[in-house]
Amino acid sequence: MSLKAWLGIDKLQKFQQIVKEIGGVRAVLRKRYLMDVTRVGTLVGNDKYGNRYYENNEYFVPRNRWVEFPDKVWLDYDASQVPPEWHSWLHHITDSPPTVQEPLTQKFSLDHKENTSIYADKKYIPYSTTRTKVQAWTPGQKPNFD
Amino acid sequence: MQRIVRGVATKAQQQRQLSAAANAPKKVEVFIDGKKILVDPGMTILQACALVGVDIPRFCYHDRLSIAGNCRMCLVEVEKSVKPVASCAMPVMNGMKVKTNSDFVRKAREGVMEFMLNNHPLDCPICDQGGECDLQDQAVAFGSDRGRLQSRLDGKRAVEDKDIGPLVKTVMTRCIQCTRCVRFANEVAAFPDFGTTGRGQDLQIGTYVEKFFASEMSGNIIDICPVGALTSKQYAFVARPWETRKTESVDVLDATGSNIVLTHRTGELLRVIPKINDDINEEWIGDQSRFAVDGLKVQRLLTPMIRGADGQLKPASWEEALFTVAAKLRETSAEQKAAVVGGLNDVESLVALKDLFNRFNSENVMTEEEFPETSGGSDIRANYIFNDGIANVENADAILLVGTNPRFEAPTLNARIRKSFLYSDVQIGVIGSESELNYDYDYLGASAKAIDDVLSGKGEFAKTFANAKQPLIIVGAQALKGEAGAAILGKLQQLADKLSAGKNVQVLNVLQRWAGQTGALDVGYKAGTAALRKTPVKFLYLLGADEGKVNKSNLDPQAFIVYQGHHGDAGAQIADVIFPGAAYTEKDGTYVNTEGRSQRGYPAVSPPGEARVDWKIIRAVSEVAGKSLPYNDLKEIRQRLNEIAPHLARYRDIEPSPFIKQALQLAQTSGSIDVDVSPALRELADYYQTNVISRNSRSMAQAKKAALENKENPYAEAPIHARL
Amino acid sequence: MNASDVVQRQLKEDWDNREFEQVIADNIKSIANFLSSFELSCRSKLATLGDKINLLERKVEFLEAIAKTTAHAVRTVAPIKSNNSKEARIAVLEAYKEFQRLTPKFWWDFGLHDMPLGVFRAVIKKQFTKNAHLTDVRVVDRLVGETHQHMKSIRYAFYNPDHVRNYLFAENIEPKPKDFLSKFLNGKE
Repeated sequence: MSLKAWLGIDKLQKFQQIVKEIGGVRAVLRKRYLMDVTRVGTLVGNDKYGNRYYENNEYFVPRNRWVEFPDKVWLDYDASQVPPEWHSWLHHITDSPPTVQEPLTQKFSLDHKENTSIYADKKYIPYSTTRTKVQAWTPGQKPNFD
Repeated sequence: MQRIVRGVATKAQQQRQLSAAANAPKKVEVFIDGKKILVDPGMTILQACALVGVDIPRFCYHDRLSIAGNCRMCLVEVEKSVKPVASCAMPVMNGMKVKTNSDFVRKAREGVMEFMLNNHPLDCPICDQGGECDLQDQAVAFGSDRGRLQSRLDGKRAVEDKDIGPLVKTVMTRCIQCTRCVRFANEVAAFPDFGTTGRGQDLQIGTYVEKFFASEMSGNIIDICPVGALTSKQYAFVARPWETRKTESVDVLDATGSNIVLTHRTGELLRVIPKINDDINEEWIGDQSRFAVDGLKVQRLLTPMIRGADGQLKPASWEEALFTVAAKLRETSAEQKAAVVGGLNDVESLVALKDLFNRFNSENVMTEEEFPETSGGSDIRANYIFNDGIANVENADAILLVGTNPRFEAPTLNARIRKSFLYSDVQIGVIGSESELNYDYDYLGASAKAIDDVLSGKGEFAKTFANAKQPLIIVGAQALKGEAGAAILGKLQQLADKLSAGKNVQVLNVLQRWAGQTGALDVGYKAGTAALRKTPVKFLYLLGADEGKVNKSNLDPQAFIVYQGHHGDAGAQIADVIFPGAAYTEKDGTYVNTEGRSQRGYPAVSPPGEARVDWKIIRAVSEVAGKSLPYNDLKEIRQRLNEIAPHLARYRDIEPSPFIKQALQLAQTSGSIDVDVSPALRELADYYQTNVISRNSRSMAQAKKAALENKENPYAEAPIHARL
Repeated sequence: MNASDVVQRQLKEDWDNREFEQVIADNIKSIANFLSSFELSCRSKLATLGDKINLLERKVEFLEAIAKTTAHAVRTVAPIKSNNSKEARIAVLEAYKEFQRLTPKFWWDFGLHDMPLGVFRAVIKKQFTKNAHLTDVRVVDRLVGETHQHMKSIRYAFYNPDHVRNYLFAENIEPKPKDFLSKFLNGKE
């Protein structure tokens, strides 16, 4: 082991390099606050929601690919905000990201929507679509035998 | 129309003839399975066995139809005979020894059952009659355990389904050709177009050319058919009988108070079938009573509603509605209050409403249906009830129908008139419209002036009528309207008085159209809404009044109208506050039929949504308005009913009405009776939708459409049950 | 010969008469027998009836005596555990003291410590005093037995805290409407 490694100075040097790459102490603190980690990697791609996808193979396998959410979601980031094509790359289901290999989509696929069940105003509450056993009269309604 | 040869088919006729003979006939001795029994000589072996307690299996025999003897299931062994004997057709003879359970008989039954099952389709899983099927029950009890049919080699016969209308579903492959439906159609329903075509294995039952079963009693062939050949379209594939609960009740869609059984499951009413009551409806009910119950599921009032400032009815809570009504009740004075009741109410709610109004010093409670105030009006009970009793119609010698069409107003009563017509030589005269009735009659004219002719003895019918031993006059309540109605009632009472001298019949009978009318008149309601037009009314309480007899123009311009009922119809449309009430299948009610017989009905389901039992709503209004009525539960209000009129608590009895002579003294006979007394219901299409429940019923709308099409062209090519 | 005929006729008549008398005498004897047996049977029946009436009279006297001496509805009943009300009272008090000794554990383990311990002790006391009106010793004995069962269940934590709370305070139970208008507005009567 070299002296630098023995004294731990190469770690400090690495940290300095990371700070420089992120762009200053303020940016590091901001990233820390939003993401809870300070790491850099190669930018693999963007998607239409503004998420940025990074990869850094110096980290071990589950933690070498990550997403950085755009500033507009701030702390309300959610894993369901990742669209399906990037989701498969992010979770190591496929090897290549959508920028390299186009994902298979169908023409009937809907746009990706995040999971809204945590928002009380936007969540889906199931309701009955059948007729009730006894149908009520509304004023002015005549019997309809169709 | 053919009368059946005068015989002793009806029990009443039998009794009459037997009592007419000087002594009782000598009883005949019969030995059934070793037990000795003495029976009257006209009885069949099957009936004699029933007296002993031995039930012989049968398919084609029905005790209210003529004997056919074609199913051969009732075979028994009679000692001296080589062949087995059809017990339903063989009359007993003195010293006859009958064995109903010997090996010979068992073999005969197994053989008959085997033949019957050979051509019967394997439809039990999909057949509606499963669980209540005579064929299933008798195959288990009397059939053998196996059949010898090689169906893949010999095959089974199949028959095409016949289309007889939107009410009865036919799967004619299941038919065992017992001909009960044919005999019923011929004898009871007066629809001779239903019969058999072909013979032997190719015998098919139907109308030959596809025709609508144009009878108001068509639903009864569903009950009569022992297998699933004729079933109810409304009840098709709905339930099995063992998973349903049965509740007995009384039908309110006509005034005879026929006894019915409500079949329900999980709080939902599934169907209505008749219950045997020999005094009223025997074993039949009309189509409206049977099929109109699907109208109880639509257009229901489920929440109280209040008309807001913008003039729209909006749902409200019970507290709000009760407070609004109670406040208005206290504001208006006694002369400005009025209550109008319809015809489907039970006596409890009528009594509660009258008590409520009386507490506020008002006597302005009236029924929608009119009745004259002369002859003692509704004070003398004999004026407005069917005095002789429906069962007595069978004993009549001559019947005069005035302003009524009993075929569509009271089908079960009409069935009795037809029975009397078939088995005796009763003469029937009709004053009213010349519509098709189930029997031959002498048409005396449309104007009530014909009554004068009968009184004075002019005309052949008048002579027959005067000489009859048991004459009967049936006058429809609809004919007794207004001034002319009063005069008609007076004239008829004169006629009845002349004819009833020395006989044990009252002669004059009034046939009401509404089930709640007799009860209302018994309890003290005024008849007719004429009193509304005398003084301007500021507070009007409508209890199920949907026939449109009250317009807003009759009332004060700022009148406050409360409607309490179960359907949204004419009454709810004009109301300011709506109280949702319960229909007749949802409450414990006492109903008085047109004979004055009080009967109680039990609830099958609970009132839907926020609806409540009617009399309890009125009691709640009284409490909120400050003058609580003194009863809190069913027992207490029935005690109140007993206080007012004891017959209301004595169920299933009729009482003879006194004061007929006094009614005659008070009668007014001077007015002109030259009015047209044609009844409103003249043809089958008129029958189906006459009250608020049947107006909202899909089955009844389909039936009405079929009847109208049938009138135009009975041989239409298009399916009769086309969707509306 | 006439004389012999006459004599024979007289003899015959005599014998007939004797026979006739014999028959009559026999009948009278049978009637007499019947009457005496009838009298005997009647007497025995009357005797049994008399005995029964005596028995009933004695029972009535007994019951009257009892009814007079016992002022309230305290019956003399066959004892199960306690022989008289004194012993029952002692048993009740013992059970009460034991329960109150258990109360702090009960209060803490079942999560009822949102109220002070003193208040909880008063609640337990109320459960005892609500039965103060009972006088039948057997009923009291049974309730004491039930109390011991409750204590055992509490020690072994068989009960759920929510159920205990519902039982003691009826917290989650809506009181049923009793008057007409509340029942009407509530809907399900």
